[in-house]
Amino acid sequence: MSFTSYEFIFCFLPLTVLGTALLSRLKNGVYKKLLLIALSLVFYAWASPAATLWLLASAAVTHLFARLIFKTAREHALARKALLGAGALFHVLFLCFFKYIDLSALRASLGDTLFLFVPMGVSFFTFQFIVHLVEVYRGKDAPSSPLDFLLFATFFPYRTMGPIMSHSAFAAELARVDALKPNANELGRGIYQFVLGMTKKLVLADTVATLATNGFALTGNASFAAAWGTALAYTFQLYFDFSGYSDMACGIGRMLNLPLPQNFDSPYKSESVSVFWRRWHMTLGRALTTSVYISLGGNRRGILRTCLNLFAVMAVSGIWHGDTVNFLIWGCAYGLILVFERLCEKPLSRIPAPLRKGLTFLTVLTLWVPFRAPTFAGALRIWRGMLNVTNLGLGQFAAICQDNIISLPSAVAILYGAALLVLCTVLVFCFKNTHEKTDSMRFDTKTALLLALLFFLCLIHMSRASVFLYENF
Amino acid sequence: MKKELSPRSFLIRTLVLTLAVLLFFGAVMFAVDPYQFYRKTQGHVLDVRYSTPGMIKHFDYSAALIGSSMCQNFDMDQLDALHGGEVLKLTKGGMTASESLLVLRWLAEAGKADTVYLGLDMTRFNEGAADEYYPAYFANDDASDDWRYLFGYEAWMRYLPLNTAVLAANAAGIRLPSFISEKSDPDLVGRWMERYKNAFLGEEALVENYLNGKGGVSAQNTDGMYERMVRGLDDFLKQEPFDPDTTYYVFFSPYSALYWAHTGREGSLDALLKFRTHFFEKMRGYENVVALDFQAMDETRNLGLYKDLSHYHEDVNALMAEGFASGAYLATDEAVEKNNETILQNVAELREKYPALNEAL
Repeated sequence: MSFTSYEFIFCFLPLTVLGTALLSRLKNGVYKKLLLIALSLVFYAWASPAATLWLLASAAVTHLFARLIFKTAREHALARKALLGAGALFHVLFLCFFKYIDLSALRASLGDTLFLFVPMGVSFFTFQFIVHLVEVYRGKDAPSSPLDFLLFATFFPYRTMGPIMSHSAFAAELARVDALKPNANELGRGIYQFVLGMTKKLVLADTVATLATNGFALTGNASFAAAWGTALAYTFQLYFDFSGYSDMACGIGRMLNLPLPQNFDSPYKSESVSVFWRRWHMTLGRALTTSVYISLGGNRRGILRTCLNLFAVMAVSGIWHGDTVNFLIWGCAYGLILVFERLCEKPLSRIPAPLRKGLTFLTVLTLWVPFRAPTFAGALRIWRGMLNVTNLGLGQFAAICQDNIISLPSAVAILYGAALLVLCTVLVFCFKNTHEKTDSMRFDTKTALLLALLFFLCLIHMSRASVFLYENF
Repeated sequence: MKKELSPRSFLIRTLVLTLAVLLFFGAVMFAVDPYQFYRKTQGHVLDVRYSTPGMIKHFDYSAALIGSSMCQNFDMDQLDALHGGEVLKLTKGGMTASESLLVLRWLAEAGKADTVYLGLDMTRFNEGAADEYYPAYFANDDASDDWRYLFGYEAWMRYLPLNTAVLAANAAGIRLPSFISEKSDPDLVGRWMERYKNAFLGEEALVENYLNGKGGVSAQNTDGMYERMVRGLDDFLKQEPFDPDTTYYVFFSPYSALYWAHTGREGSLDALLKFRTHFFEKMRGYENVVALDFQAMDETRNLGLYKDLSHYHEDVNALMAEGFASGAYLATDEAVEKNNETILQNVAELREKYPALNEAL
């Protein structure tokens, strides 16, 4: 079930909030947890019931290993390490099986058996479970009750695409007296955040997506205008899509009074790539830091090792996103840039802040190209076009702005595409992000009317077929 | 600074305002009714993709024309005169077989047409199940899903900006290009002749363009093509497309001789000719179907009448319209076989004139 589907908006979400609110009146908190687990399983099974078993199996193994590690005395360091290694290996193999093996070929020969249904969000929950094992091993987390762990493992707001919430953070939130007890204040803010996120996804991301999709589908040489239009469009599409999803997830968390961690903090306003990665998909960054960077020694073993670890983290991030050369290049390029920034910290800090922001945005935009392009040759085509100042090619830009349903005259298409990109730029650079807006929102009629209008806008965009980009990861 | 509401009051106000906003905009869309879903409206831009079901329900007609881009240039006045009544134009560029079926079903449900002119693209039977452009909420009379129309992206985002601009331009006396103004006329919507009148470049240029890769035809899957087309036709006929109370004039569009030469290079010529024979044989099994074979008409050899391999000049449409009335192109068993031979002969002549056409693709 998607957050932007009619059944979710009009049925699942209201029933979930209402059910949780009603059950939270009971003294025994078990019932609302059971309700949320059941609803989460329904949410998860909506697309692929069989894959739900994989999620539950992975959760069961994690819980078992977490308990074993926790119960093994600290004196038995080797045994603890072996348990952690075995648990982590299980998850890595689990992830590799679903992510890097061509299951369609297997399905062709074996048929649609249970083993070949890819569990939704496998990359996300695998990371979440590994982080849990690592934290238990380090003594920073403890296994919770089977019921609480099941809720943690299945909790629908973050289950398919994050934010990647650590078990320790989840358990701390769950331990609050008023956790999962919806109240009017949080409900109001949650709805506000949810609707803003939905607007980002349905109205902005899905609209600008046309340019990106058409641009990356170009087969010949891309012109200067078309290449920049394509790269910019995807840069905004990905941001509005994924941060929109995260806002919706956080909004649901607020509605249920179980806040989820922030995942985006105006990343395109960053003054360096290092800062960008602290503000983009923040929870993945934290998970990678916990499970890879710190495990490799972090910054405690000298500058050379620190640089190596930084590079390794970004290479893993690339591989985490997919098994193509493009993702590896993308991750490694970021690894090199982070190393460069670490080594040149002082000289870089002397560059004026607006220039640093511009350079960072340019770097990020350039590197989204291989991230999205179907092949490396496709990425090269766009890059070449971005450098080809002699071929402005507004006609090709007009072509990528067409929505393939209604044919617009070229001049109108160019104006439309340019206006859309300018609007996205203004929204990204000149406005507060959704979290800031949610925290500072006022409970007044103006806000209520804004929400009503945005909801209407989202509703009319909902009939377009669309998927969240990070569902692919 | 205005006083803030309590969270509870805020929630109630948000809910009430949301309902009010939805009610208001839903009512606006109901009143405008751009796709003629509830009633016949005047002056609006007709998007054939979305207006078709509404036009079938609410327009006055006694016959209908269904077909793809090759049927979009029929002179509807000529068809009206030949038919002796109003013929409703329901053509759409790239219409698939399944879309034709849907339109045929809607027409049968409406029960207004005693005659249907049905143009089919042969190669559409070589495809698997194709997507239908028509939104699902148009495909039924279920009022419970009308909200998808009233709050749909198609109506609000695709239709309103364009229609508002056209209405505003008309009100301001601005003369719009014909390809836009024609969109508001049910008889002219979809017509492309004016836009492409300079694209008819003559035989040599057409052949040269084709040989340079600008043929304007999509490549066919030639592996098991005939069998797949037969299956496609069987699936089509299983859906009972022909209403017993209506007369159907069914035809394939007259592609150019160069198109047939292209199929020879592609390796699909034999399958297509065999399928033609099979198709017309099947059609003859229906008492209320008049099958017409325009595919070997003399004009197919005149490449000056084609803007690409398959799209022809409106003059050809005019001749076809006369053919509906005269019965000159009836697809009898003998006629189809003779036409197959004519097509092969046309191909041979072209190959002799342009030896490059002998090379396989």
